[in-house]
This record gives sequence, C-alpha cells and structure tokens, in this order.
Amino acid sequence: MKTLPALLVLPALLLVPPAATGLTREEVMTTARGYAYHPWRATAANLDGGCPAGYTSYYTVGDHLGLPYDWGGYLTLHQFDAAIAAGKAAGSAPYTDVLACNVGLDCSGFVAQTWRQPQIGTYGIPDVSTEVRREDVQAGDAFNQVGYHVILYSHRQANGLPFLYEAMGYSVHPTFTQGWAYVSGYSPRRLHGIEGNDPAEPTGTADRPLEVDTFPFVTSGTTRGAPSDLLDYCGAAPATRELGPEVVYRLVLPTPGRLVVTVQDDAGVDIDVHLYSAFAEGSCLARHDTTLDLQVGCGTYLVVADTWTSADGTEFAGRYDLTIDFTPDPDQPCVPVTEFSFSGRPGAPCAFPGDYDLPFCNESLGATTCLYTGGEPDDVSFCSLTCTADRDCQAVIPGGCCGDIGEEDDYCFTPEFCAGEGEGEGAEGEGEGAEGEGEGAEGEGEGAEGEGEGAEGEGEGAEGEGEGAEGEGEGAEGEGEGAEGEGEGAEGEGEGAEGEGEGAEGEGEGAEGEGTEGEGEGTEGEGEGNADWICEPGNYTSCSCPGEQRGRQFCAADGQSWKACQCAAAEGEGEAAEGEGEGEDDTDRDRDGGCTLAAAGAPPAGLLPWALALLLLGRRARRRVAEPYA
Amino acid sequence: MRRSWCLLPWLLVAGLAGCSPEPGAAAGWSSAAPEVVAAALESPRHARFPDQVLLPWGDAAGEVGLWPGAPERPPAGPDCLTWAHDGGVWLNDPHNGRVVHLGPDGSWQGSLATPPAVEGLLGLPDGGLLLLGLANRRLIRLSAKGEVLEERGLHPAFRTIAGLAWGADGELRLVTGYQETYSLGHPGSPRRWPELLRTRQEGVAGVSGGRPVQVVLTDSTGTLLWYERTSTLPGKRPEPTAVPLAGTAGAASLRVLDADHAGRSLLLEERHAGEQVARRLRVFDGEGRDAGSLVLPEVGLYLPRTEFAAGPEGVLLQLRPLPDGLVLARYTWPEVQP
Repeated sequence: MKTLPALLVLPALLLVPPAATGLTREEVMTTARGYAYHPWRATAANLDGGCPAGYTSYYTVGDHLGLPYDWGGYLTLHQFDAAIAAGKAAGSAPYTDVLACNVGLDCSGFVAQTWRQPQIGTYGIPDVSTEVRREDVQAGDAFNQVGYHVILYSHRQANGLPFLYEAMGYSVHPTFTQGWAYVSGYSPRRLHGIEGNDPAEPTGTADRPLEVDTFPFVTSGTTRGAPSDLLDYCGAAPATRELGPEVVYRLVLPTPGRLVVTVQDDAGVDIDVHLYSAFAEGSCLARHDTTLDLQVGCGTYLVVADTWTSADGTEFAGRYDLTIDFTPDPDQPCVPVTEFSFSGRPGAPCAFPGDYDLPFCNESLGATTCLYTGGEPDDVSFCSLTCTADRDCQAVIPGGCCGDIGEEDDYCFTPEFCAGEGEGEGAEGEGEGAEGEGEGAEGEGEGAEGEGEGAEGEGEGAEGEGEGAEGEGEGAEGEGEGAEGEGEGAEGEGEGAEGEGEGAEGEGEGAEGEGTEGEGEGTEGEGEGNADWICEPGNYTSCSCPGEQRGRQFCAADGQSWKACQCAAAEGEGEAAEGEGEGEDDTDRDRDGGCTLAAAGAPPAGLLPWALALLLLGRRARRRVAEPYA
Repeated sequence: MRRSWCLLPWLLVAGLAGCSPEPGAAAGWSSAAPEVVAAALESPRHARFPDQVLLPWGDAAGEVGLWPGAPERPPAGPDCLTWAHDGGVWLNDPHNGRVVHLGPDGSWQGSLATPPAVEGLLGLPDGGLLLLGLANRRLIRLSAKGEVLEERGLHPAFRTIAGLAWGADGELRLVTGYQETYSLGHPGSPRRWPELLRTRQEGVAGVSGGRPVQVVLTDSTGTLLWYERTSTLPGKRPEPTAVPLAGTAGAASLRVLDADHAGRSLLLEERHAGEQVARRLRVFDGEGRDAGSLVLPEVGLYLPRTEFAAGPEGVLLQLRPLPDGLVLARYTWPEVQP
C-alpha cells in the first residue's frame, strides 16, 4: 500500500476524498496514541524482510512501542500486525527508496489514518482541511507543509511548548521538546467537519481504559462515537470482523478464577465481547457474541466491547449493557497471564554467543544477567537475576529456583534446571511442621525458617552451619522476638544439601506458623518511605561473611542505608537449616529435591554438566571492562 | 546487513569479540582539522571551545552526514550533542552511524560506531558515553574506546522521554516530557523498575548544579518554580518557590536551558510572529528580573532534537544545521550579549 511516487504526480484533486464528517477530536487523538504506543514484536525476519541488499532495519529483535516510520507507508494497525507476523521488514532504512518489502507509516500516512482519510499525502491535506490561526490550534489539528512534512497537534504543555505526534525519523512518536520553532513555516490545518472543542482525555481507550474494580461489575455504554477504533480482528477468532469502534475496560486479577463477561445489545446493534492480555490483536484470548465464560490466570486483562461489522461494511455500533463477574480460586497457583511481553524478562531466552539474534535481558524488567549453557547454537540461555532464596525467583520465573553457579551471588534458574534430582529425605518443606504448621511463626519458634538438619548447603559446615544462622535469635528481620530465623540455626546448617538432608524449609517446630513475621518490634515496612531511598525498608540482600559464607543485610527502616551484614553465628554445627523437619511440602512444586543447581559446590550428578557449563553472561563480561567512575 | 547486531558481541563478551565497521562508519580514531570560523560572540571566561565550529556535510573525517530533504520527507542529520569529559563535545552523526568527538579546542578527535537509532547522548566522567535509543528503547553505555559496557531497557511506561542529564547528586537522570526527572542510578549500578518510579524529582536541574526548576506559562506569563528536595510520597510533595518572570507576557513558550546556584536561569523564549517563530535566549536573576537576552537566528535546515547543551561555567552550545554544514555555536551566560 505504498503509492508515494504516484501520489507525487497525480493531480491532488483526484485524490481528494469527501470531507470527513462526524469525526471527533477524541477519536483523532485516540487513534494517534494508538499508533504511537502500539506494542509489537520484531523477530529476526522483520529485520530484513527479504528486502534488497542495502536495506537495514534500525530495529532490533524484541518488543517495541510505536509503529515504525516507513516512507510511503499507509496502513491500519491490523494490516501492520499482519504484515509483521508475515515477516515484512520493520520500517524504512533511513532515507532509502520506497520499498514493498517493509511496513510502517510515513508522516502523511499517519495523519491520514488519524483523520480517517485515504492516502492523500501532504499535497492532499489542504483539500480536506481549513487553515486556522496558529494560536487557535486544538487537539487533532495538523501542521502541514506541502511536499515536506505534516505533524498532528495534541496539546500545549505547561511551559507552552506544543505536544505533537508525528511519523518521522524512526517511528511514530510524540514530539514535545522542540517548541513552536519545530512547526515554524507550517500551515495549521483543521480537518473539515471535525467535531468538538478542547477535548478532555477520553476514557475507554487503550490509553485510558475504564477500570473494573469491583465484581460483579455492571455498566452500560455505547460504541457509537467511541473514540477508540483500532482493534478490528481478534487473534482468537481472526475471521470475525470487528471493524467498528470499541470501548476498553481493564481488570487486575490477583488470583486465578472464573471470569464471566456478558453483553447485551439492542436491535440493530451488535456488540461483541473480547478478552485481551494486551492491546494488540495477537493478544486477543477469547471472543464471543454474548458471553465469555472461562478460567483465567492472575494478571491484568482488557475486556473490549467491540462493534461487529457485516460483510457489506455496515457497522452495528450502539448501546450495550455489560456485566463482568469473577469468582476467585485462591487454591490455584498464580500463573500470570501471558501478557504482551517486552523482551528480556527473567526466564526469557537472551542473546549469547550461540545466538545473537535473541533479545537482551531487560534490567527494567528485573533481569540483570544472561545465563547460558555454552556458546553453540543448540545451547540454551535465559535472563536471570541474583537471589537469596527460591521465593525470590518464583515471583518472576514461575517454577524457578535460586541456585549457585560458582559466582559470588546466587542466580535464578528456570524450572528445567530446578526439577528433580534431589536425593535426600525431606526436600524443601518436606519435614514436619512445614511452613505454617509449626508452633512458631516465621521467626518465632525455635528454628523458624530453617531449623532442621540438612537444608541448603551440603554437608556439615556448609553455608550457615552454625546455630542460629540466618537471623538467629531475637532481632532478626523486624527485630521482634522470633523474627525470621529466631531458632537455632538457620539457612544452611545441616547435613546434606537442600533437598538432600532430612528436611528443608519448614521443617521442625515452628516453621512459619503462629506468630507472624514482624511480630516483634521493628516490623517490616515500618520505615517511612522516601523518594531518596537507596533500599526498600524490610528488604534484604545477600552479603559477604567471613569464611566465604553468605549472610543477609537488611535495609534500615528509613531506607537510607543497609544495616550491618548478619552472618551465621559460628561455623559450628547447629542443627537447623532453612526448614527443618519432616513436614509436608507447602508448595505445589512436585520435586524430590530442591534446586538441583543450588547445592554449593556439588550439583547432583545428573545435572553436573549443565551446572559446569552454565556461564554467566553480562555481569562477568562487564567486570572485565568496566572502569571506575569518578 | 544488520549493523545493530554488530555491537552485540561487545556487549555480551565485551572485549572478546570485535566488529568490523561498515564502510563510512568510523570505528577507529582519526583526526582532521575542522574549519573554525570567525568568532561571533566573545567569551571572557571560555577561550577554549571556539565560538563557532563548522563541520562540512559528508562522510569523511572532519565531516558529518546529512540526509537531504525529499518529497514528503524533511532533511535530517546530527540531532543531539553533549559535553565530553575533557571539555570537548560528543555529537551524534546518524547518517554515518557514529558519534563524533571534538576536543576542547573544537578539533576533530575521532568517532565511534554506534548502533542505529541513537537519539540522545550524555558524556560520562570516565570519558565514555551514554546513548539513548528511543525506537528500540535502550540505554547503551560505551567506554571511551567504544566498547559496549552496559545496555539497559527503558520501561514501556516511560512514554515521553526528553533526554538524559546529570543530577546535582551525581546520578544519571532521565528527563521526561513533564519537566521532571527520574534517577537512573550510577553507571554500572542502575536503579531498576519499579524502584525507579520512587525517584521522581519535579524539575530539571541545570548541569551547572542548580536546583531543580520548572517553568510554567499561565495566561502567557512565565513563572519559575524552584524545588528543594522533593518526594513523591503522599503529602510530602513540597511546595516550590514561585518566581514570576518579568517581561514574559505574550510568550508562546519558555524552556529552561540552565540554572545556577545563585538562582539565575537561562531560558529559551518563543513568540509567534505570523507563520514564523521568533526565539531568543533570556537570562533572569534570582528575583525573576530580566538580566539579558539574545535574539537567535532562524532555524536552519532542520531543528535538532537536542539543539542546546549547557556546560559548566555558563557555556551553552547550539547545533545549527546550515547549507554549508553543521555549525556548533557557543554562547555564554549570564552575560549574554549579541
């Protein structure tokens, strides 16, 4: 759909469509934001798309926001998503010719889409718009310079600078730092028939969805005139045409459960309900004409009431009644819905010497390091982060575990490296009095978290061997009596590695049970937050102890400093370890042992090659070259 | 074909794998003497960086690239700059896939190959450079030799990223479109999402170490908002000190370019003039009184994304793309004089 050269020679009159009527400023701006912030994923195929030699996409493999810039490009979001899925190249190579192998939008293609015009070019803009005074521009107006560039105006910022949207350079994006000089010499234009003045920020859009905060949620609405008209097809039912405007609702589910969504509409109206995990057609999980009834995981969802469109193009927009109900099922584990995932999350594959086409780990999403098993293409890699216990990992990598690969810190592993292979009796949480069952609460009873024989650390004298390791005695986390780890011994003391000894997390008297964490003085979270926190009160991190042991270091209540490192009391031989006893496993994981890679120094034989081969990518590499900062 | 991946080995096994630069993308160091044109402004304190430096258009050493305009496509070229640790300047040269280093005397020091789609720069104290890529939402830290030391993703929640700056606390700060910043931490020890959110600071501090400041236009009259320590916690947001700015009635926009410890500020003022826009640098003292102004020439071939870079001791550099090449013009303040 690229006809730029033709556009440049055709008389503009032939290209002029009828004047738009009934389009509101909210609709224009909603469409603009939809293009500027549209999530999409680039694969290796999208970097060349079979384009001629010399073409180079400026995008990298991974997830992105905003459609690419493409000279001569003009398409809908649906067309873009389909083209990317088909392996078309993303965007123009900077300032190359118009190509057929790539996709995106150019400046006039973008404005034409927001104005719901055919591909008219900057030459056609004057024919569908009227010039206005520069000082009078409103949201949805455009600054046009024939044969040169066109930019959509959004609003004036607090300091007077214009906030604009444009397709220019690399992508469709907001432009807000360059002032009015950026549009100096441009003609301010207003679309014929555009309705409204100084629009408020519309809701019910991808940008500002209507929040569902109670269940059952009962509401009424209308898609007629709804500002959002970006979703046209559902990935779960791709043949169904939902070409009309839509209204977007968002719900956040803390637990799995049963979700029931019903919609009723009047005669002559056909509103369908859709469930999305992100505002992209490929993220549409389910669709129905009247009722969605399905089990869902925890996470954030979008419920979209969209307008069905017949084959002849008739849109059946109008009023509807919507009910959303949710019955939680807290017994089920929280497996987050697969959201549109910006690449580089913990657990996701990452670029390594065997495959540089994989994305980088994304520190903004918590992944600091790429671990990989070797340098060959068949090897595996995943993004990871440092950890001190399995639970640190399970929050970000379902089923993951925390393990040692011989570096200073322990790292999170994906489930494939955690399963099975445990040897000992009483794997983590297997002993008596598993978490929540014992007499003492976490940290209150004897041997709270970790009392038993055998736990993390293999053999006697392994990590935290003495009595009262992790938080021994009063005054561990939260300072209270029996805060985490009051008991004798703690993390690490026992015989046998985690999963190997007679008991692991939660064994013994008083694993997490009565008495709650923070029962003592100085509870977690008591500190007052501050914008200048260097750490979050109550959080802890791993720290070095004498004898190459590891301890914990808690954040001070004011968040301004880390407390002194708490180390094992002695390199003695206490009887406890993280979880002692013979209780029942309190987790849903079905494994015989703990993290098989977690045992310090001696992973189970079955995974030894993996363990030895696992390499730390990124941090180690950086250490070689990082230079001190002044 | 994929120049972007060319740099990945540097990141992933830094120092172990190299990358052959593309033709025209200078990875090695080279030198050439740029043309130093006659000084237009006298600087009593900064005799080092020339008042104007011209880099002709081209792809050789001593030149920077320009994509000339085409139908439906404006011209484009170097679009951002930053001060280097040595008193010189780093300059983005996207046409040639590189960043250019000019020494304190304006001389060409060389260039480093960069990944594509770099849209922001920040010089680092160790001689390295931080690259901001908005299309790929990446921060990339280069050593002075061009090795990729660190790469970080920008969280998608940050939609309006204006650029990078140093905070008075010595931390990297991400400047957003609302005249506020977020601390990225120190290079090599970044703050992570969502911790980053807690570091929001109202206002943008000047590189000369001034307090965070914002400017607002109310009824077309400007007011500076000076902030002390700020907090985003409920009920803890301090009230800024408001200083009305004299002579700003009728302004179309005001933008803070720099501020100092004495409460003086350097702003860029715009006023509508028919289809054109008149711009001038304005200096205000700590009481908001007019302390000088300088009318800026018209915008050249295009308006760079980061047109100005404020440096220490009241030096301001401007990128001006002109038909003959790219001019780096130097101004000083608080004594701005035509």
